[in-house]
Amino acid sequence: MKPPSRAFSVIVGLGLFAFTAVMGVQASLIPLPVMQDALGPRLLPGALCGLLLILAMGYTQAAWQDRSPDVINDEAEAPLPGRAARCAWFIGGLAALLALIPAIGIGAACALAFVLFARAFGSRAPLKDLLIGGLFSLAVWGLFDKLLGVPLGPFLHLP
Amino acid sequence: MTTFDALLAGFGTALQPAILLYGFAGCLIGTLVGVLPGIGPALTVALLLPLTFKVPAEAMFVLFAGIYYGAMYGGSTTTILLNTPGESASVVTSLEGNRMARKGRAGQALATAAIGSFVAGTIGTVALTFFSPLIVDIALAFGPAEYAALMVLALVAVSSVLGNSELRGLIALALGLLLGFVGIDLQSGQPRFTFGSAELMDGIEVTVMLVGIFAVGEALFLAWQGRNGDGEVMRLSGSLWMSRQDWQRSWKPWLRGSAYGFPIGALPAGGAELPTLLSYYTEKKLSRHPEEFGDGAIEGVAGPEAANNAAAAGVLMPLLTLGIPTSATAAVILSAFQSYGIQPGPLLFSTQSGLVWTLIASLYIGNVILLLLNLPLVRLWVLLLKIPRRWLYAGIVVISTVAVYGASNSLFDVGLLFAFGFVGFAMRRLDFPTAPIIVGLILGPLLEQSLRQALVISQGEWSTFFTRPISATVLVIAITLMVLPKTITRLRKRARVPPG
Repeated sequence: MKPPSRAFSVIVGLGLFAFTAVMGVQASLIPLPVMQDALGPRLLPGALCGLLLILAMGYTQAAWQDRSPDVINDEAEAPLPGRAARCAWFIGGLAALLALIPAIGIGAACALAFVLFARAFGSRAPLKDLLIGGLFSLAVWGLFDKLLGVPLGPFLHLP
Repeated sequence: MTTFDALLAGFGTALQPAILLYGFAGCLIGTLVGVLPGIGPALTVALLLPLTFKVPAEAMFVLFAGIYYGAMYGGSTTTILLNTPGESASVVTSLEGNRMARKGRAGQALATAAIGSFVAGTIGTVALTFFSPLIVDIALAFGPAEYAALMVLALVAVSSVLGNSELRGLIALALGLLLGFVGIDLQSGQPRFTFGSAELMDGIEVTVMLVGIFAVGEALFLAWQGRNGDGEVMRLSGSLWMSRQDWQRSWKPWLRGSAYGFPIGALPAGGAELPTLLSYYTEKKLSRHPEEFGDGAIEGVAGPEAANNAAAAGVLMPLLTLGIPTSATAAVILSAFQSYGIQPGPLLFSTQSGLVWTLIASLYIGNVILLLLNLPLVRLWVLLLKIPRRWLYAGIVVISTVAVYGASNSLFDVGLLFAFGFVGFAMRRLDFPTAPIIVGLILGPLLEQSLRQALVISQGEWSTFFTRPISATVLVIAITLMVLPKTITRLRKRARVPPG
């Protein structure tokens, strides 16, 4: 049997530390108002950073000692082979949305990202996905922008 | 005006054709998203929040009420017919419901779940109608110190009692509270944690965080897992009618489930997991056919489903009377109130009396619509379960992006949405509870405000929280909730270690 993997939970624990450190520094930079009151703008955020620091320590220790659950160690739930590629397709889809919404309009960007997301879920028929994604994006865009009046900009705009 | 008159006036508004149409649409959308695995009521309400600029408040909350109850009905359909339970509250139903479906009794399982949901939803709504004004009467006497104490209790309860691990629950809570402080501090006017960015001045929207964690994070997790689980959908054979014996075995569990669900849902320690489990074990204990449990006992579907729905009504009580959300869905509904410039709390019943009673009346109406809608259309819902997962989840991410972008037209918010997606992925993979981070985000600033007001009144004396009797009692309960589970575990361990 494989030994349980703790890499991810330890990294998340350390990430929590880094986040808390950044937030702690930021909290100490909050300017205090001239009029002091019992609970200035710094007190609660500072106290929470302190609490989070202790919790992050506890979590990282537990992760290091293999006492933190990670789905990857659960036989029934663990990912199937090829997880890196699937995640890459998914993250590619997110990046495509961020890059393409301002470039070609939200509808077209969504249709293209749809193909990448479908690929992340194992689809092997990009043209069919593009067709479905295009129709779906058009329906969603029409519903929000045209029918409900939520402004989204044009479906497709060419640079 | 008495409660009854107010309720009648609420029915008057809720039954106007235009409003009724919204209620109907809400029930339909709610059932639809409840059936689809991967979208819950919290996510749906969050996705529809951009509409608050367009639709009058009454219509919007009637829509939300329909979605809220509808998702409960739809969820049970999925649990019974698919062997992967959607939300944690329906895990117990899947034990028995799926077994019944395997034996060709899917129709009866669906029927007892739907009728039980109707009975419990109605009992829960009646309780909400008549208990809320009582709570409001008490709450009107509360000062900021009592509110602060109640919020602390709600936060402790949400983070440490329900999850599997106190440590992970508290981390999620602390993260949520801390992120809640991002933006301009209203009291002092100072920017906090904005990193010099203008976009963060207004703080982090609950919807962006919630959609990121529930939609993007969940989809990323499922892609990572790669078990696309186009799960086996049970065939729906035979009739939907319950036999005389089915009725006899169902009606008591419905009532008992409601009796568990509403009070536990209404406590600040809300949530539906506990009452459904309690109901399941009670029915197992009381049943004349205990041997059937684990192999498709109808009581095991009837009781927990009723408990689930009654708890859903219960959760609305602290939200409407005290302004304290105790679940992710309640947190989004609170944020919807805020986007209309309304702050839920005891004053809501006097300042927005029309809105509150329309909302409550629409819960009664929604229950009837759902009962009529759910069973006859069940074959349509089954079709929804057959949508290929790759299109379903790609669509969920796309529609989430569109809704978040539509709310602010800001690419920054879309980036933030995806960042929360990664947070959600890590939380899902490492078994962190999600409710605390969301409830923390929305309660953080409210808690700080109450603390400040209380300290102004007490002239800076922190002892005020322990010298005022109600606030002291609530805080003691909160501390007990936090310490008790740990102490019990420790005592048990000590008892097991042999002396010497």
